[in-house]
Amino acid sequence: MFLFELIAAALISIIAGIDRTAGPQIMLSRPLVAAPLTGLVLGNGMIGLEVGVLLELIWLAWVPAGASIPPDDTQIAVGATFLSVVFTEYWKADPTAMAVFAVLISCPLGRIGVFFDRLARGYNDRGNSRLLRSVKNGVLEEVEGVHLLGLLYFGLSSVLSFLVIVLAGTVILLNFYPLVEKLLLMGSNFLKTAFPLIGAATIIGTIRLGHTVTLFLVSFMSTLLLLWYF
Amino acid sequence: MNDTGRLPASILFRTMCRCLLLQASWNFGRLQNIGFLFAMAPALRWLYQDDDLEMAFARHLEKFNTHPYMAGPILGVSLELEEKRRAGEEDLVDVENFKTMTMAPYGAMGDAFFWGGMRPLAAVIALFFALYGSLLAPLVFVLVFNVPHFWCRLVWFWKGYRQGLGMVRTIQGWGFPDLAIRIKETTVILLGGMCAYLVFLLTGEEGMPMVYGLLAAPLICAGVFMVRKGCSSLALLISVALMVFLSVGL
Amino acid sequence: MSLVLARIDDRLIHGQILEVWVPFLNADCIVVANDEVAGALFRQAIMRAAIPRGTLVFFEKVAGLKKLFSSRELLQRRVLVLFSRSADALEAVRRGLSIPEVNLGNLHGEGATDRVSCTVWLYPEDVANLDTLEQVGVKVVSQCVPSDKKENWREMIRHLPG
Repeated sequence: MFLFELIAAALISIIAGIDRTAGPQIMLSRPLVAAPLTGLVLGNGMIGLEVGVLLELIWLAWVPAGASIPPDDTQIAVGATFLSVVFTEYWKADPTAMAVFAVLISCPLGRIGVFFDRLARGYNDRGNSRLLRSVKNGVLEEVEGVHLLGLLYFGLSSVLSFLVIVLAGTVILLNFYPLVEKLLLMGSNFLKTAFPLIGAATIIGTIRLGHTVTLFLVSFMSTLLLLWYF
Repeated sequence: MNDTGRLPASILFRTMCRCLLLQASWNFGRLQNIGFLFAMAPALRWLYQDDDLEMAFARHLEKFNTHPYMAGPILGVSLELEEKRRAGEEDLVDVENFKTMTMAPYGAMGDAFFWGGMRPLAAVIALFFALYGSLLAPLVFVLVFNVPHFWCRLVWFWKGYRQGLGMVRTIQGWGFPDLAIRIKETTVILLGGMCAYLVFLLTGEEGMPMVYGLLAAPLICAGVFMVRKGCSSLALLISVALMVFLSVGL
Repeated sequence: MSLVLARIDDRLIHGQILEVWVPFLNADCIVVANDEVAGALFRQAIMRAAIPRGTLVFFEKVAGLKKLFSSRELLQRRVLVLFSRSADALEAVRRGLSIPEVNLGNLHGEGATDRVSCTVWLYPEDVANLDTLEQVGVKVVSQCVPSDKKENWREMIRHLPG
């Protein structure tokens, strides 16, 4: 049951996960790209798009220059899309409510991604030490091997994070979704709006141009008035 | 080696392709060092033999860390500098120094322009498509973002190789840091529009009076304040979700 | 002039400084206090290219810092000063610069050195320098970016022998 879906989503998790750091970084790792892609492959592009919109802005402002690493939003996106596609089909549940719930539970679970990511980089440290030794001894053929092995580590770390999110997420969903379904149906419209707004707030809070907030508010107000007027 | 001492196009091409995988073996100790050597390896093998080759490998295994896209031009210039070294010519700085000099400032430039500027811009543009319900959103994201990305990584790689140290001036001429500020301003304006559109959709769907939409402004400002006080996205997310559940539950 | 951050960071001008600290502290002037850079125009040009308009940057010898800090140009500025090693920070303080607190950012010594945090490796002489700094009343902390916890360096070197 749903085995094909799991394998397909795991493949995307690997591709998007590698693109996050190790690969060419063409932004396949962004939730707004990875989630709809997962959705399309699993036969429900729209729910993927919904997950992507919920997640895209949340950790977008983070610049990979600091030491603190945020949860792995790539695997959260792929995992939450998988969960929402499978469970909307399984329970005939409301897609928006399901997407919101799946994202809500996947976000804290995504912290596991930090652990696996560190593990992969740690393995690369070993590769580095080995390479330094062998080059010192005049062996110059190992560069390619050691380097490309890193892709394997990052790929593995991605799919492991994905599996943890999906497995733990399934357990939580099975147990808790029926309990909160009513609340979700009432609140999902608000949450669907709140997620990107929170993301916007984190971006505005991080971009400090001196006049960021003013610029934002002026644009917000004038757009809102225009929308009302027409 | 051939008579001219210039690297053949095939090797340049291989280096360019390999530079796309710069961070595959990112490690805590020396960061992108193996990735840089991985990209340089075909050229080094072509230029040097025996002991010289060993030394070349060792010098490119030193610590290296920059923005992955800006590594393109740095690699290009490094190839040119290695060619010169092989020919016994001297330039203003040697390849090791060039790398250590450029990696941090160019890293900052890439962080500001790509991570701080282009990525949010592409995301917000794509979000407009997504909110409209269009599955083209991911495609828009990838296209908008990757034009400057590949320009920087691939075109500047070739330019770097052609111009050598002159590339520094070319990069300076683009004024990335100032461009980044313009892009960020554009993103903020678009974000304002996007938030307004979201709120507009919500009031419509919930049948609320549209004036309620104005309430979103102080709420977002409160969020901004929390973020600046060091509140994490995750904490904000969970508290907002709880508040929504509480208020619809009661 | 107000000194908003003094940081020991061997990467000098890089992403954490320009993308994170400068906007966070609302700094509008960066002073790179380093003897080698102060004499290397090509290197300065590369660094300058990374800094947006509106942010002043000075490349100064450690010995010249005190004079620079009392100059008119810096009068209204919020200044962020960068050292590349602990010895420079100590030297600056010895020459009469008043720094209330110094932040350990990235110090990537390798080999015989001790790793005390994700981004900080210390040589024994660094420990001695920081010790002296602390004795003359400079607080020594480590905080990579503002969202990280500010740690006292004593806590970080607790596990080191000696």
